[in-house]
Amino acid sequence: MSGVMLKTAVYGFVRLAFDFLGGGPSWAGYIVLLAGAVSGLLGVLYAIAEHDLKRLLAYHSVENIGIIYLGLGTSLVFLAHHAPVLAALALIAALLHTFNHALFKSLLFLGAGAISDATHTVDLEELGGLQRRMPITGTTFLIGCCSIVGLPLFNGFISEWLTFRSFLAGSVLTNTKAQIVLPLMVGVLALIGGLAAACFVKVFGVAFLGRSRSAEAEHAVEAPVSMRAGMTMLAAACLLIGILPGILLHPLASLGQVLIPGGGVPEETLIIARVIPWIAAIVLGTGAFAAFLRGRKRMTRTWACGLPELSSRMQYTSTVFSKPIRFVFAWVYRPDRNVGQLPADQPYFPISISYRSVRTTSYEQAMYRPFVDLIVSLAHRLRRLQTGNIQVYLLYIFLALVSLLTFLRFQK
Amino acid sequence: MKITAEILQVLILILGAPLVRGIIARMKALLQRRQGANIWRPYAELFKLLRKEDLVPPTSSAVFRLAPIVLFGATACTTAFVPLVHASALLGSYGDFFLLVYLLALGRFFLSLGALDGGSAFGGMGASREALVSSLAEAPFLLGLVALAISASRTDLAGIVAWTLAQNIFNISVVHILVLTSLAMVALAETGRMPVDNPTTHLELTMIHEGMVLEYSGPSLALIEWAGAIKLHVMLALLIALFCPWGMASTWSGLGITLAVLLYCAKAAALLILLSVIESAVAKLRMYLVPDFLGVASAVSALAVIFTTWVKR
Amino acid sequence: MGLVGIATEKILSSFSVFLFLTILLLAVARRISTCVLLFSLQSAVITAEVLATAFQEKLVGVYVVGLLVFAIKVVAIPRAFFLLTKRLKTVRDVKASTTPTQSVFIAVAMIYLSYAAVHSYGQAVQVPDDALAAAISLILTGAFLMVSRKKALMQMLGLLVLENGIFLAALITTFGMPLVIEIGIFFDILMGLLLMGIFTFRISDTFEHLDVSKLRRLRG
Repeated sequence: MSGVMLKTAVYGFVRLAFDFLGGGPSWAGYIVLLAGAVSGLLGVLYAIAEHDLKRLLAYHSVENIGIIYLGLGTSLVFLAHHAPVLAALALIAALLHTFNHALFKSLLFLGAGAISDATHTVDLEELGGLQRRMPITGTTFLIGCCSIVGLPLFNGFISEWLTFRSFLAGSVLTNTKAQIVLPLMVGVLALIGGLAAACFVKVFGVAFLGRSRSAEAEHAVEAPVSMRAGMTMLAAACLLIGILPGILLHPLASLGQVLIPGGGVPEETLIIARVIPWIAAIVLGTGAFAAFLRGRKRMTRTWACGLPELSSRMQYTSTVFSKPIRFVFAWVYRPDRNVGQLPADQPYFPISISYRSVRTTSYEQAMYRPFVDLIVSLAHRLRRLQTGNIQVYLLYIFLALVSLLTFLRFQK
Repeated sequence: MKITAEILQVLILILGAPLVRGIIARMKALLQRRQGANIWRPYAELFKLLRKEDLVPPTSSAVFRLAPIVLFGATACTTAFVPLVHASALLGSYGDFFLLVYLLALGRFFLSLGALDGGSAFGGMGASREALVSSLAEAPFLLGLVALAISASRTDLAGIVAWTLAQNIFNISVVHILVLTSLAMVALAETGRMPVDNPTTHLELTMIHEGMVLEYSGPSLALIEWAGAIKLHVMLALLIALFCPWGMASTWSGLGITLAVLLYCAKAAALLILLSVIESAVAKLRMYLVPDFLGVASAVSALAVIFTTWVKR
Repeated sequence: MGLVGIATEKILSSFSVFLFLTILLLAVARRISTCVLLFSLQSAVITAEVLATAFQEKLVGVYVVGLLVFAIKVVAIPRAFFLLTKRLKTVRDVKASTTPTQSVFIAVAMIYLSYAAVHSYGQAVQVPDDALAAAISLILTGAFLMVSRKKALMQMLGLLVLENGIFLAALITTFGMPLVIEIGIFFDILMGLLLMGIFTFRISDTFEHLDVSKLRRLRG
């Protein structure tokens, strides 16, 4: 669903904006840019605060659609300023990210499904240590995590690189507003990428690494072959496009030429297609050399500061991991905090202390709720027209006829 | 000759990295009126660690031993983008500074995963704090490099350096001063030096980077330490190349390149002395003040980007 | 031209950079002593600019103005501030009502605003854009410091930074005001500071603190 259904909206937008309208005024492009930036930032911030795996991945879809719209908005701005080659570059970046997102998001959701199948939970606080029990699921999930963060050698990096390049190209335009806004979007996208990396370290680290936090995670079994086959195929596709991006870039470049007449093939797509395989070769080569340097390994217990054994409760949980980032961005989350203490009149000798923190969806209250309330109140007012009295309805028809006739008479 | 010089750059950056650590440690010791260890000691430490065996927690997975390899591979690859003796780099191409920043992010991602795989609380603490610092440090890093790229009208690091070489050293450029301030702050945050993180602390509750490597030993630890030193060396070389590149060879002659290497060593030594003085003089920031530190760096980079539109007029 | 000539040219074309740096650092500084040091650096940069203008325009009166600026704003006033802070024994913190991140973003917005405002005006009059924008940013920064810092000493410092900005703006647009007016302005400032110094002592004596946000019983 996340892989394909969300993309129909993007498809519709691209058809409308580029095919039918052929671009629009530059303020429309800026609005799309702003919408993309806000969705990207809010999506990733709310994803970091989640510990339910599926909700977290859904918030990340919000973030990635935001990134896609950043690319589309940039393309519209370039079209409005008559720079078709750069517009084609931004459009190819957005389209490539759409395709990549379909790949790695499906992979991540399949992985979440496999986890849910094996442990009957998708709560990150109950998982842990799954990599040893479900190696194939873990490896493919890791590839999905690296792709969504946009790390080099995986497919997410290619589309993010192209988006960055199109922002940077905004400085060649002569319009001052574009010269300022587009390069500043580099900072926004970098922040989104950094927060996404933090979030996926948390997801993979808490779910798959370390010790198991519950009995179900302790006894998880590897996913059945059918699940594994699907995930492996998607992971292989992510790696393939990450290392040899030319496979997808050439068809997309010709698609860009169709949607934006006058734009040639942006040379950045060719350059990145040439450079990335070398980078991959060097990284893998150096890694192989480093692996060769390693010696034998010996299993030994982790030092537990003198305690007999580390328990799984001593590890970092998902909520604690994201605490620093949630603290810094508390003005976005506006949590409802409640610390209760029993008994209330003896503050220094408590019997029990309860702490409750509820995240409010502040964006929903700030942006959507006033809008919804306005429409509902308008609807309430319009309801008064529906009196249920049939003579009043006949009066409406009569009044409509009379006004039509007067309008005709005075129109001459 | 071109390829030889570029490979020489990469080798200097990779093999000279432990020496950078040694010089900083010796400088700090001298500032504290101690004798300090030999500047070649980090090499001895690397050899010692490489000969030992890897101790691995029984609950860890393959990611624990994979992480140092990926970290080393990614960080070593970033050395191929930085010009050192000549305004060109082995893998320089258009828009390569994004690759540099993201390769460093790849290394950091896997190091954080390795830290969480250790199964102890300190690894999680280090990884969580590192996540905070690195997520906020990427934006000013990229914005600063973008501002420089816009002023130079070039998108590769070698091209920016070539443009800077052609400028008059006495023309003060607003954009460059602002970006220097911002990149200096980002370099301190990315490499985990004071005031963001204390690299010589032994108190686990104050560790950010060191907390992530507590569980590692033997060759894995050697790779992580070496990668950390390479990252520090790359950031220093980047600052020197972007802001003070005069002295780089303009031809491919042996004499020019030798002179450029010597001049680079002199500039690096000056910068290392400055870094040691800063490390000895400032106190470490409380962790929740680090976002303010990086927020100031972001604002300064954003101002630099805005200034590029006025300067070019 | 000689070395002095080249140096003068460089100073005149690039001094605004250092003023912007001091503005950004003032926005994030957390101790009163740091702010006073930044103010004296700012005044030193302005002194250099005044002397460079005097060299270029060959006006003797402007040299005197430059020396006055140095004597009063770089040496005397910061020393008076340091003496005050020592005698008052108050906490050294600036007590800002905005976090450093917010302050520095506001400073960036102010610099952008001053450039945008100056752009249309600067082409009508033959003044360099950077310098006038720096002057206006100094004025805005002084006002921002007065509004957002709660210590009484910071109100004084904000006023001084604001006066720096006004002085610089006047200097750039008129290439050196008549000496009499400059001396008059300086005496104004000195009187104002003397009065503020006396009042600060009285406030500290009576209320045991210098936090102006707590001095709210002036209502009728």
